[in-house]
Amino acid sequence: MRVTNKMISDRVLFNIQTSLKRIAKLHDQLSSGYKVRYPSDDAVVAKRASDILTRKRELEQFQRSVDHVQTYVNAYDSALQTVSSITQRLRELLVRAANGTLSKAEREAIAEEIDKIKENLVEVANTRIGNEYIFSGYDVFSQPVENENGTWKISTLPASDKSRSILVLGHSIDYGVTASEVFELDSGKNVFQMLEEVSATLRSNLNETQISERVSNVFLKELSYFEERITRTIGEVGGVSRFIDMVNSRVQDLDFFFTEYLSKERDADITELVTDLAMQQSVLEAALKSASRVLQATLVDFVR
Amino acid sequence: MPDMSMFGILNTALTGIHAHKLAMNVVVHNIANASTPGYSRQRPVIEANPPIPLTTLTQPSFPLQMGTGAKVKTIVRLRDAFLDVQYRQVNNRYNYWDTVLSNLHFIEQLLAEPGEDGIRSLVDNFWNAFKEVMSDPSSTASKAEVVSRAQQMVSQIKDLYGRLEQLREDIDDEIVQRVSEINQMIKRLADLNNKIRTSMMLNSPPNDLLDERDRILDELSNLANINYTEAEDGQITLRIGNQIVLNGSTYRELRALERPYGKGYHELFVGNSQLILSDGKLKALMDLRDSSIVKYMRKLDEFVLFITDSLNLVHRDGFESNGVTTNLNFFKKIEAFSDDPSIFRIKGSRKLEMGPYHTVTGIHSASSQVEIEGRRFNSDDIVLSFGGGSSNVLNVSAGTTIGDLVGSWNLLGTSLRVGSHAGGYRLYLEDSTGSLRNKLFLSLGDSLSQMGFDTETKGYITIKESDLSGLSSGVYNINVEYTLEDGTRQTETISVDLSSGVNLSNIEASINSSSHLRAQIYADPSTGENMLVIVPDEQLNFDPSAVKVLSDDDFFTESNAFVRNYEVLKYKDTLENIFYGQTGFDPTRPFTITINSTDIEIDPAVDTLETLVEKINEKNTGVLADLTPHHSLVFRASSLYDFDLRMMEIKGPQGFFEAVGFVDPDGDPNTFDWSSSFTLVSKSDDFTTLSERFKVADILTFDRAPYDEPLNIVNQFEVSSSLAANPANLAVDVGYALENSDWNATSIKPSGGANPELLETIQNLYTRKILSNGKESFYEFFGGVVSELGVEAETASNLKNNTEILRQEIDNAREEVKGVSLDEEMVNMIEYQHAFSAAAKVITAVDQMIQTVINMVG
Repeated sequence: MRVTNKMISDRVLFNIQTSLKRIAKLHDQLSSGYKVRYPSDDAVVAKRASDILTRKRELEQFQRSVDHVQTYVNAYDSALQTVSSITQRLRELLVRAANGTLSKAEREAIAEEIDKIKENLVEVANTRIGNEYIFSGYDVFSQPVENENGTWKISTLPASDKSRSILVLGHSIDYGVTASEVFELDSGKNVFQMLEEVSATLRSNLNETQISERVSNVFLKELSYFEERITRTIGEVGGVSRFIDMVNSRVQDLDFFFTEYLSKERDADITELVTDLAMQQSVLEAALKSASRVLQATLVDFVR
Repeated sequence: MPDMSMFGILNTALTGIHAHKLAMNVVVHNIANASTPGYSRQRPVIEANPPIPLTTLTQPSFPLQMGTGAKVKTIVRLRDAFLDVQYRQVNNRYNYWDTVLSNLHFIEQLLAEPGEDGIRSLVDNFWNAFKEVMSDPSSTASKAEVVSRAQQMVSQIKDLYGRLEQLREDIDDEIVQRVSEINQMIKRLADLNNKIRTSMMLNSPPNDLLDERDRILDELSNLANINYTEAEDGQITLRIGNQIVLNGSTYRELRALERPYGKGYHELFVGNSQLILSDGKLKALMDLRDSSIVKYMRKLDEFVLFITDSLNLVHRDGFESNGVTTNLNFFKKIEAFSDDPSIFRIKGSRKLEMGPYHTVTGIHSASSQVEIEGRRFNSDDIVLSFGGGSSNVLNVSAGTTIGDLVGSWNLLGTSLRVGSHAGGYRLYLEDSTGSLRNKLFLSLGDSLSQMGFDTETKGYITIKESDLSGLSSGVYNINVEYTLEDGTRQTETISVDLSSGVNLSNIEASINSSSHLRAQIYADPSTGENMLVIVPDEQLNFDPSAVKVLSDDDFFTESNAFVRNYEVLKYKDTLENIFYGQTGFDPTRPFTITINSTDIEIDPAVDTLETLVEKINEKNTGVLADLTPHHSLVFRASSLYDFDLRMMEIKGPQGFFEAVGFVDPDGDPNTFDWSSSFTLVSKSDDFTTLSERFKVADILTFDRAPYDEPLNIVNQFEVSSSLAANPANLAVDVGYALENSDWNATSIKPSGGANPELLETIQNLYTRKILSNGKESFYEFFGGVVSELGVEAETASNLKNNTEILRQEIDNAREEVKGVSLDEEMVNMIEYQHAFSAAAKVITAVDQMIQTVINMVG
C-alpha cells in the first residue's frame, strides 16, 4: 500500500483533533460538574434528570404549603389549649354554683366571672392569623361568632362551614377547625348562649334549690359535652399535626433521595474525570511528539 | 549502403534527453503541487520510438531493427473514479447529519433542559404558585404571584417560539445563498465541460482541468446528492437530486421560488419541475425548516392551546374571594381571523347540575329478576323516609327478601321496582314526580347498601325512650335559627308540650308542628327500644348544621339527646336522571355515540357525566372529553387530528347533543329528541354551516396552517388584561348551584373564599392526561419534548461521527492513489537525472566520434 506524505499529515491531524475533542469534552464536564449537560449527550438520562428537577420543584412547593399549614395547626392547638384551661375554671365555678348554700353576692360574683369567661371564649373563637379568621371555615373574612340582638350566634353559613384543606403528595389534608365543631353542642346550641343562660340563671330570682338543680342537672352536663368536644378536637388537631410532621419528613426524605438520584445520574465523577483528563493530556503529548518526528523525514533531506 | 549515421545516433541520444527532460518536468509539477488540494499526481508514460529497419555493412542481406530512442507518449493522471463516487456519497450523508446536529443543538440550548432555569421550571413554578394560593387564599400577594409567574411563563414561551421562527428564517436565507453557490458551480462545470472536450479532441488529456472539475464535484457533494456520468468525449452529464442540470455545455440553474403562504419561504425548482433532494446540507436545511423545527413549534402551540383553554374554562366557573366577579378568563382567548378556521373545542351551554332526581339504581346487571328479588337481608333493620312534611318507617326483618321489600315499599309516593335494563335486570327506586332530592331515606344498618344503593353516613339527633327521666312534664320552648339553602335565615320558637305526659309521641307531635323539623319514632332493631330521630326538612337540605339552637330550656340536655349515625341513601347524577322524560329517551337501553367509527356505549342508568367523559377518553378516538366545574360538557380535538374537530365524524342521538347544549336544531331549547340520530360534525361540513349549527354552544376556533408551517397560536398567548391589571380578580371559589327543574343550573352562588375545590381542580389539571392525544399531562409534556429532542440529537451526533470516520477512511484511500509522495518523486527525479546525464555523455562521446571521422578526412 502506498503511503503519501499527505496521508500521514492528514492522519496526524485527525488524531490530534480527536484527542483535543476528547480533552475539550472532559474539560466541559469538569468545569460544569455535569456528565450529561444536553439531551444530545444522553437522551434517557437527560429526560430523567429533567423529570427529577420538576419533582424537586414540586417538593419545594409542598414544603411551603406544609409550613403554612403548620402555622395554622399550631394556632388551633394553642387556641384549643386555652379553651381547655378555661373550661377547667368553668367547671370549678359551676361546681361551686351547684352548691346550694351560696349567697346572692357570691352567685353574682360567679356570674360576673362566667361573663368574662364567655367574652374570653368569644375572642378565642374569633382568632385571626393575619386577617383571616381561623375558625370560620371557607368564609375567612367573616367573623364566626357574633352577638345578634342579645343572642350569641355562630354565623357561618352551612355551605362555608367546612374545614379547609390542602393537597400535598397526593393526600388531601383537612386541617381546618370550625367554630361549630368546637363551640356547638350536639343539639345545635352554642356554648356562648349556654353561658348566657348560666349567668342569667345565677342572677335570677329562682330559689337556691332550683338554681343548684339546674346547674348540676343541665349546665354541668352541657359542660361535659363541651369538654368532650374540646378533647376530641384537640385529639384531631394533634392527629393532623402528627400527619403534617410525617408529610414534612417524607417531603424532606424525598428531596434528599431525589437530589442523590439526580446527582448519580447527571453529575460527573470528579476523580474519574481528572484521571481521564490527565491520561488524555499525556496521549496528546505523545501524539504531538511522534507527529513532529514523522512529518519531518523525507528523502529530500538526504539527496545531495 | 544505408546504415545508421553518426548523426542518427546523436538524434537517438537527443530523444533520451528530451524524454527525460519532460519526465523531470512532470516530477517537478508533482512536487510543486504536493500540497494543492484536490491535485492528482501525474506520471509520464515513456515509450520506445518505433524502430527503423536498416541493413548494415556487416549484414547486407536482412535488415536489423534499429531503435530510435524514447518519447513521452502521454502524461497519465492517477485517480480512482470509483473511490470518488464513494467519497461523494458519504460526504453527502456527513453534511446532512452535521447540519442537523448543529441546529438541534441550538434548539436544545434554548430549552435549557435539564437545568434549574429551563422551560420546565417556568411551567412548574406557575403551577406551584396556585398551591401557594390554596394555602393562603385571602392573600392578594399570593394571587399577584400567580399572575406574575404566568406572565413570566408566557413571555419565555413566546420568546422561545420567536427564536425558533427566527432560526427558520435564517435557514431560509442560507438555502437561497447556497442555491446561488450551486448555480455558480454548475456554470463553471459547463465551462470546464467545453474546455475538456476541446482538449480531448486534440488527444491530450487535460489533467489539471479534470482536477478542477473533481474539486467542484467534491464541493457540490457537500450541498446536495449528485449523480454524474462521463461521456466518451470527456464531458459529464450532471444530475442534482432528481433533476438533470448539466448536459454537455447546456446547463439549467436551480431556482428558489417563494411560497404563496406563511412567510414566503423558498421551494427549489429546476425549470418548472420541483427539485427533490435526498441528502446533503441543503436537504438538511429544508428538513429542519419544514419539519423538525415546525414539529417543536407545534408542540409549543399544543401546549398553549390546551393550557389556555382548560385553565380558562375552569377559571370562568369560579368567583374571586369576595364572591362578586365570575366568568373571567385567565388567559386571553385564542381567536381565529380567517373565515375557514379549525374548530378546536365545543362547550355545551347547559350546566347539568342540581336538577330533579327521578331514579336511583341499586343492583344492576343481574341476569334474572329472581336474582335480585331472591336476595335475603341478613339482619334486622329499619328504613326511614322523610320529605314533604311527612315521614315513614319500614321494618326490615332478617331473612326476608328484597322481593318482599319491593312489595311492601310504600314510602313517600316512591316505588321500589325490579325492571329490565340493558339486557339484564336492575333494582331501582323511582319517583315519577322527580322530587327525590326532597326526600330522605335512611337506614340504621346496611339494608340500603345491600340493595346496591350508594350510601353515606350522617349524624342526626336521636332521643332514647329510656332516657326521658330527666325531663319534667311541662312546656319546653326551643328557639332555633334556620339557614335556608338560599342563605336566608329564619327563627322559630318550638314548644315541646309534655304536660299531658313525658313520652316520645308528645315530643314527636310537637316537633312535627314546627316549620322545618320532622321527628319520627322507630323501634331500634337490636334492642327493640323506641327511639325518636329529628331531621331537618328538605328546605334545609336535610342538613343538621343548618339548624342552630339558640336556647332550649335545657330540653336537649335533660333528654340526653345524642347524635346517632345513619346510612343515608345517596343520589347520583346519572344520565337517566339528567335526560329523564325527554322525547324518545329510554333509560333501560344504552345509547351509542360514534366518534370516527368507534362506538362508545353509554348506560344511562349507571353512567354519570364523569363516567361518560372517561369512556370517551379511554377509546382514544381523537376527541378528548372534559367537564367544567359546573358540569358543562366539553369536546376537544387532540393532536391525532391536528386539533381540528372538523376533521372528525361524531354521531349520536340528537337528544343527547341538544341536552348538553351543543346544538338546538329545532329551535326549541326545552325539547330534546332522542329518537333521531344526529351528525354533530363531519368532514364535509363547511364552516358557515357549522357555526350556524353550534350557535348555542361555545366554540373555540383558530386559523389553519399548512403541514409545514407552525400554528402560530403561541403568538396569541397572553394573560388576560383584567387579571393582569388586578390579580385580586383571580377566581378561587367554585361556588354552588341552586336547585332547578330542568338540569340547567343558571344560578350559581359564591360560597366563600377558602373553598378549596376550584384550586384543587386547577392543581389536578397539572397531572391530567390531556396532551398528546391523552397520553401526557402538562407535568410530563416538556419532558417528552426534551426526550424527543435528545433522541433526535443523539442520533444525529452518532451518525455524524460514523460518517465522519467513514469519509476520512475513503479520503485516505483516494489519497493513496492520487497523492504525491515526495520520496517517490525524489527517486524518480534521481532516475531521470541519471538518465539525462548518461544521454548527455553519449552526445559528448558521439561528438568525439564525429570529430575523429572529420579529422580522418580533412
